[in-house]
Amino acid sequence: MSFNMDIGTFIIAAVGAWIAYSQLKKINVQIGIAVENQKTDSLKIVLEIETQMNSRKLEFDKAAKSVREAKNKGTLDEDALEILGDYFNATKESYFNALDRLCYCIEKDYISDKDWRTEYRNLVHDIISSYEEDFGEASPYNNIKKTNKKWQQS
Amino acid sequence: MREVRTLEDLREYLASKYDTEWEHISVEEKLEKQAEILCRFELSSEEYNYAAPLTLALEDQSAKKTIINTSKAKEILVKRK
Repeated sequence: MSFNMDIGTFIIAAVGAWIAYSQLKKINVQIGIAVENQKTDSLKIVLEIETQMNSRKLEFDKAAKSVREAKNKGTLDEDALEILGDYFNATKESYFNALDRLCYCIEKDYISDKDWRTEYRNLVHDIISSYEEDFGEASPYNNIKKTNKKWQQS
Repeated sequence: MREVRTLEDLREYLASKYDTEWEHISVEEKLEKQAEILCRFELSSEEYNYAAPLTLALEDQSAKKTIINTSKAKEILVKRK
């Protein structure tokens, strides 16, 4: 009787252990898939931000080109100055906003600092140096400033 | 230089240089150092582009040109206002 119970207990324990093992195996696979999905999502974020940044950079370039061309052609009168000045400032703001979003993602660890430091360290620094007036105390581009400070110190 | 036998070895070697020794040098210096290493091998242009982490530098160079272009426009706008 006791021997039969021991065998029964052993079988139940073995079945329980097997069920637990197969469940753990499934959870492991699901975690692996989740990690892969997260990587893909991060890559999507990066590609989306980079696409945005590039298209806004092109617009900023176009605005600058319009100003320079108007000056060369001698058509930069008061009205043109206002129109092109507004266009230039709007495209600049749009480009800086995209860069600020990238820096936000880096600051909040949505994307890896290490991966982007090499690529954007000089760019961020050059932009702040060339547009000092946009990165003063009241600047809305806090993430760019923070990222630059961190990258220049380390 | 550590042993580099395949194109993949070369690519990994350069990537590690970017991450460590060259992390804080300018893009121009990176390009020079990168070219110096790559010229030691007989590579086709496709192999060269594959091995070199050039995309990083190209993005930076492209942004520099934007900064030059827009800074000139900014000067014009500031002077005329």
